[in-house]
Amino acid sequence: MPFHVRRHKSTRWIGLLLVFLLASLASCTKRKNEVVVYTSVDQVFSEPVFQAFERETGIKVRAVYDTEETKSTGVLNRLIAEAQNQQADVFWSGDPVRPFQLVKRGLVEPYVSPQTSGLPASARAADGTWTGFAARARILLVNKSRVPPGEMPRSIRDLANPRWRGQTAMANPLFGTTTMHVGALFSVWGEARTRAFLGELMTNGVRIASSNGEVKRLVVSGEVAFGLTDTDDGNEALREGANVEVVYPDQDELGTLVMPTSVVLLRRAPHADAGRRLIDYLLSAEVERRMAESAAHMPLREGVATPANVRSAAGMRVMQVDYNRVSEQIDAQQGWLRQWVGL
Amino acid sequence: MLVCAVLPPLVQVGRELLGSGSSLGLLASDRLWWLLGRSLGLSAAVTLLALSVGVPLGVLFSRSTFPLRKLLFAVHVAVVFLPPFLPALGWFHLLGREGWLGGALSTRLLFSELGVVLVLASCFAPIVTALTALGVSGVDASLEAAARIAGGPWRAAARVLVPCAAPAIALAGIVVFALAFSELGVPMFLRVDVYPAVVFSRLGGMDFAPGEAAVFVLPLVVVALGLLWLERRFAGRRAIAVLGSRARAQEALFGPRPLFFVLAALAAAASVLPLVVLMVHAGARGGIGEVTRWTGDAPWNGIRASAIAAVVMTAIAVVLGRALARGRRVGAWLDGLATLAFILPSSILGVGIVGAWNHPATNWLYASFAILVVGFVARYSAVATRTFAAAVAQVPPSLEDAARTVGAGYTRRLGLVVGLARRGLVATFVLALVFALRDLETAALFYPPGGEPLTVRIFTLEANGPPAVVSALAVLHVLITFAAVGVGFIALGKRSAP
Repeated sequence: MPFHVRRHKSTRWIGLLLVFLLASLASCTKRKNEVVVYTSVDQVFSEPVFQAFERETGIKVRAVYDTEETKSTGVLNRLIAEAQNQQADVFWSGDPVRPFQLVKRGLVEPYVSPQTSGLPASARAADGTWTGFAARARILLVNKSRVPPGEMPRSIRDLANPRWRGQTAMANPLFGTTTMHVGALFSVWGEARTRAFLGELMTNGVRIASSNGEVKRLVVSGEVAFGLTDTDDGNEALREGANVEVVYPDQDELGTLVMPTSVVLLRRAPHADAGRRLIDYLLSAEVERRMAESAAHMPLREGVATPANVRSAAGMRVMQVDYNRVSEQIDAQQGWLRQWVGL
Repeated sequence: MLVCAVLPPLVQVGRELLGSGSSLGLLASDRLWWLLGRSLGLSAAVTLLALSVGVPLGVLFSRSTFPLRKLLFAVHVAVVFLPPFLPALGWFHLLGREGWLGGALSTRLLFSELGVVLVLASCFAPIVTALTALGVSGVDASLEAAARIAGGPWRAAARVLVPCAAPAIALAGIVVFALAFSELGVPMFLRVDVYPAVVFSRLGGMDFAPGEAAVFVLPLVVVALGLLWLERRFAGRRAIAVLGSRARAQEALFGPRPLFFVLAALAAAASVLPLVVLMVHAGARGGIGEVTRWTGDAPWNGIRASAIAAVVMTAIAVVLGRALARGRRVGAWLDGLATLAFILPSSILGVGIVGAWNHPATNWLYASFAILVVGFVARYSAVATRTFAAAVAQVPPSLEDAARTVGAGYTRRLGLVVGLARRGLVATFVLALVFALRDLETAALFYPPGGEPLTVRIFTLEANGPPAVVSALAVLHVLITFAAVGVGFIALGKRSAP
């Protein structure tokens, strides 16, 4: 039987696609007027800031954002994994602890921005390895239809109160800002007391959610009565019109944990000069104001107004922590925490 | 191409493993094996349920006539285009404590192993439906006609159509099992600890420990080998050679019956319901107006990398799929490699890709969208290869033998097979394209700065982004996938089943 193999249309399309691939790759050659930033600050808040920077300077910002589940640690670990051939210029962290992981590995280029002068000394490293600004706080988000006004929780210890057995939530402490919160408790309370407290939480049936965003979702939907999350999540719940209340916990003793976001210039940054310009911009009063208005972050710089829906750090009892020590505690307790969550 | 894409990250994972020999003691944990057993059990349950639903639906959509058949099929498979977390969110809004149909009992069921199984099965059953429809549509009408002489349409379907489509159904089973096994987002959301979370905790947690993660991958190698053995033992050699796409147009096996329409409508509703709930809950009208503000270049980033990856995977599948279908040993080995890459948790594969390609010499590739192409090829080549192998298995080897006797070389015989299995070629390209477009967990780990695909953008915006926008972006993603699939069909010049 004679046979003839037809030349399919697909051959033409494959050829076209390969030409297109080569053309696209050629267009991806290194661009000079750009800066690469990795950030664990929510994309919905950070992207408009980058767009404003692009408009102001003409420098293109290429960003990598964290997903909610791996908040803070996803891009941090990518930075560590890419250390042999650094891709990023700047790391904008959602908290002040993650930068210590980079400092410890020698991945940070110290840079003291001229913009740091207006920021409190407690929110930045003297050697310029990291600089903190616009802060969030750890709060209790309470569903008012499930919690009577007279029974409002006032402390994170209420998570262990048998009155609320199986009706509370917190995010997995292996990821995100909950890692820092637990590390802060270890640094303030010590190992024995913190482990006992976490054991009580487990006994009391605290739901371990995959992220702070999920804690918000569980509270807003009434799945739980209240949960431990961040101010920006609480603010979003209020914006959505949810029947919730934000409680700043432990105002009578321990204090509320406040977490400045922080910026770091990376060693061997491919676009170091542009990276410094971006850091200068991020640390400006204008960006603090924008983060306060759009993301309910507390301004740390004097002279930047605090929006009405945000409490000022100066107006509350703040948990006193040494961020470096918190970072050390997180490292030391990771194995135990994995066992605690069952992984 | 396959070796270039798959081997470097696997070698990198192997290096991590060798560098952490002292961590082997971690495998002694009882909890670890309990989680592995639970993951295997959940994945098996999801696969069985998806097969139970998808195989009859595949026959139904492919070999019967009823109103709106193609539309209902399209709606039924639409859920496959999205990462399962989004439909899970829709079910939560429906069945959660304060959901539209929710209460204490429904929420307890949803946040349980049963909830994970039902949500994942509803997400993955359309894969079985589509692949069964593909396999069934390749069966020669004369075989079916002969079967109908001996019995009715039900008997013909059960005794001829389904056995002839066994390779496609086996492929569907493996794909669903692997997807269910490696799924992390839905179990985390529904608070069911699974084995991939153990690996993820070493890569997404504060103490970045890829060596430990590689140790935890070892049991997964055994799982991958077990899957391959099962498939080759029970399904791989049972293909009945038929004339594939050369078969003349078939008449419907089943006539129009209201029951079939009802079943198809129910299947479509079960797929689309969580997405509708998500849209309504978010007030998608407001979201659609905001979409252009939030999409950026993400749709283009995803389409560009996915289309090129699909072409590469299809090219690989033509060569490797034929070798696999004809029982060539090298084909079996390479297929094993690709299957291992498919079943590995995407997080460890991602770390392997970063380690393998992030060097000054390969920076041109790593820092561009081409790394997404490499990642998609590494992760999903097994799906493309096996899809084409299932189609080739239905082409009689005697035709190739005849071509050889008249002097046709390898390339011409390959062309002959492609011509005979062109419906399978279309399905291979489309499946490869869909898997690359819906990918989230692989791309999220190494997408180039500023070059995230739409799925990744949806998930990064999911953190505190406007819910209406997130829902609208999800709908946009479904539409884009449909459009890309349509263009794929046109590009390859052939319409396909059902």
